[in-house]
Amino acid sequence: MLYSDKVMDHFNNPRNVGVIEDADGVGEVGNPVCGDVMKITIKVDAADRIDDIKFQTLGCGAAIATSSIVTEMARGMTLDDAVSISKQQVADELGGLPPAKMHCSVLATDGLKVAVDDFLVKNGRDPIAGPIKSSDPNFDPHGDEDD
Amino acid sequence: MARVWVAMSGGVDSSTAAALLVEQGHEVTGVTMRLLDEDAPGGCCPSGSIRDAKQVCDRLGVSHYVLDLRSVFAAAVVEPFCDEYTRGRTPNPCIVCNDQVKFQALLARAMTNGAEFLATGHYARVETDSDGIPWLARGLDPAKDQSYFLYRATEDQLRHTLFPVGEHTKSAVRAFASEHGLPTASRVESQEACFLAGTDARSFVRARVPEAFVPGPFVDAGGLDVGAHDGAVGFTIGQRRGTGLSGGDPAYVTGLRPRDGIVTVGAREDLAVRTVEATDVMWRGGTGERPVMASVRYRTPEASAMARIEGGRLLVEFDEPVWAVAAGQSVVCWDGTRVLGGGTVSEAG
Amino acid sequence: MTDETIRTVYLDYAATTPVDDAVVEAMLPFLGTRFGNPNSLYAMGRDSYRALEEARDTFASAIGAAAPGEVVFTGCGTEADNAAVLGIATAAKARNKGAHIIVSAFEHHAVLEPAKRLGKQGFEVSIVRPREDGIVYPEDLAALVRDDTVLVSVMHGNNELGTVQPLKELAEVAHRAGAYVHTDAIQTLGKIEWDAADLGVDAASFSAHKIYGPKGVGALYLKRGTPFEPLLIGGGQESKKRSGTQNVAGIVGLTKALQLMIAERETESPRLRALRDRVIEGILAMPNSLLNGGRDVPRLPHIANLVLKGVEGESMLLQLDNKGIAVSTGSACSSGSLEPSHVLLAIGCPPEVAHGSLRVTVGRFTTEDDVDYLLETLPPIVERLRAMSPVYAKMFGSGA
Repeated sequence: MLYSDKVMDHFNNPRNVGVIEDADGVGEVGNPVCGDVMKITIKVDAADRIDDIKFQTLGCGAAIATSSIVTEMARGMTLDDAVSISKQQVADELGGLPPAKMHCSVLATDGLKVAVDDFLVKNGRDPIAGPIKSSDPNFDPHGDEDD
Repeated sequence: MARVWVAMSGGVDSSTAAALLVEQGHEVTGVTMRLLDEDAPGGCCPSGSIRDAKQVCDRLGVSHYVLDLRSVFAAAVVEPFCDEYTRGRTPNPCIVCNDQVKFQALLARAMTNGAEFLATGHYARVETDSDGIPWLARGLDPAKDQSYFLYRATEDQLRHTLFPVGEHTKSAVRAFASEHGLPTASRVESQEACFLAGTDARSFVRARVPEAFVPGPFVDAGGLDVGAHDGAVGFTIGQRRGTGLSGGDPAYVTGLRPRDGIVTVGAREDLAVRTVEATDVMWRGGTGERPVMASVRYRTPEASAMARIEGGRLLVEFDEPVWAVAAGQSVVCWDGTRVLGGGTVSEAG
Repeated sequence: MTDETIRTVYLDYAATTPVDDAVVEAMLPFLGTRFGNPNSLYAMGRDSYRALEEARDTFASAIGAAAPGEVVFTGCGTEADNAAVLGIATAAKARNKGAHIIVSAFEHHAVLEPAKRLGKQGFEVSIVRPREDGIVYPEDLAALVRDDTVLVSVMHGNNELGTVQPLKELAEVAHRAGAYVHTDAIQTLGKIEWDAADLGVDAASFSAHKIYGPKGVGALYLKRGTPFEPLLIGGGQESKKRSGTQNVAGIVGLTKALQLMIAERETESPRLRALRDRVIEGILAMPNSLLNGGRDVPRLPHIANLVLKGVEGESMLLQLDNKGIAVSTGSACSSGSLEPSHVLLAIGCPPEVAHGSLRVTVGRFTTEDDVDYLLETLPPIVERLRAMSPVYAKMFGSGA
């Protein structure tokens, strides 16, 4: 199974690793039982744009790479745009992912969605991302999902 | 400050337990055990419970994980439950679940993952004696005390166990939950086995082991046929209702022989026993005979008795007769608030 | 990746081994002028035939077979496993000896998959579980064996854990019930004493590329009288047990490789054991690590399977690869099936722990320096990955 150069780059030199201490929104998804946990913290400015974003991930090469790229993609985006990032877009930004690793990109976009909704709900607003698949206890991370 | 895993069902007690620990500054991780398949009737753990527990964890700002313990649960709790009934005994699955699933399988899993303690929403306490030895003890609220179900906990397990709500009354817990935006209802009624919610034990066992239901007579103490039943499985000693017997004196189930299809019935007086013998003993009460308060069923008021270990069995002699002691249930002994131990009833007379 | 020359340290000998120069030398003539088909009648054919049968004799004596005819050469270890499981069970069932087989929970897939297939073809399959120490206990097998059991297959040395099974006792249990015994001895051949007569097994699988031989050749020991339906049928080679023109070069290579293993074993085993133990001690000295399988059970000298908790295996593997170190992992993310190692799960390792496993296996060309390099390189990698994890500090405290 081969990773693209871009995936390896983001795995070896991940961007935005860490935790924003007084984050506006926090999204943690995944389960150590599956070997995949991602936590995304964001800061949102007055215009509802993601001003700062950081991630922490426990997971394989693709998990780290997809978290890293999603934080790059989301930085500066409006909340609406951020929650609309699809797993295919994440994979494309990375120059493609092996089919078996597409579920890592689902986790990355889910983490971002949870962080955005966390910010909104904490501020008395309505969530926009909706229920995320990976939180469903019957979610099969290796199944065929549509986005 | 310690790393604590909290077993969460999404109900008021375990949610409050988690919240209390967070308030106390511990590093809390919420864990929900998946014990049943999705389509199984059951209040305790399928997705509704997982979702509720997750919401509580989100609110508390702690991580929430689901642990699939279905095969452990099926092998340790559900199968023996059916086996016991087919042998004419009345099992207590919650006691088995606490012992083998929560305080063995789940606790071991927690420790492997770096936790220092496992906490549950049980109304019980851990008391440490002057030598630093931990003992299981009753919860503060006598009406809710669940120490009866936890008597099999070992010293080592107790060393790594916390019961945060055991220090409070149920009403205080409900008030706390309400104030903190946590669920205020229980997920499962404590007297009911979670995997039975919606059915009764008899129907459950019948669906799984239909061949154990041998039709036969209800027989009185004199050997006379007084009625018929369609299987001696699922009745319990002391049962009066559900036998279909009416008229004349009230008839209580006094004995069960499922393989022969015989259920003996009798008068209430026939249910009185003074001595209870138990096997599968968990005893921390020493080697000699000692006075205890003992109970043969949850919420049956404890009665005064003398207890001793003989040949690996626990013998409990009650001062006054106790009623309707069923093999398979547990007899548990206390010294004040402290649980000394107990065992599975094998014989009563 | 920079241009600086990265040192390469190969520590995955259980996966495959380099072909030893002496083996290459022994094989070359058969890839050159001595290319005859050993089944041909003329001089070139007879020459290959003699080389083939000489190799068979040598191999058979080396493994304690009663006669050379008990050795069947195959195209790989997997083929030998498939042939044994499918071939013995089907033949025994056809003779009305029963239709129940037992395999262990931590067999290689080359045994588990044929067993599964038999389960769909009218056989009942029971699984005997190893205990937490990585050993299959004879009493646990005894509890499963029945009158109608025709085949028991338990691997001799587990390829992931390195634990060595009490094969002689297991075979006795199986034989008492009239069942035949097969063992996957792919990891044990050459590394520890291996005598078919002593062990009492009816069949065993071997592979060349685990013992510094070439890929694409293996062998099946099949005791005379064992019921067997061949997997490959056609021209009837290998006494009709495995059709196909024999890979004389490979077979000569396999035999030479085995001879070399046996010759060096007395000094090489302790050397490997010491290197392996250094790896184990070094990794156990890291916080939140553990060894898979019992510390004091019989073990192969070259395999160490350890866990670094709170780190995922594939990411460790890739980071080690960046530094030129090759090892393998039991993590789900790096397996084709996306399930964590079935071997680790079989010994009761919870999935979240299996994900953090590393298998380090040493071999003929491993030096003390190599082990030093691994033990220097791994800790900073683990620290960095643990620092990147959202759960490590929460679960284990701050020791990294």
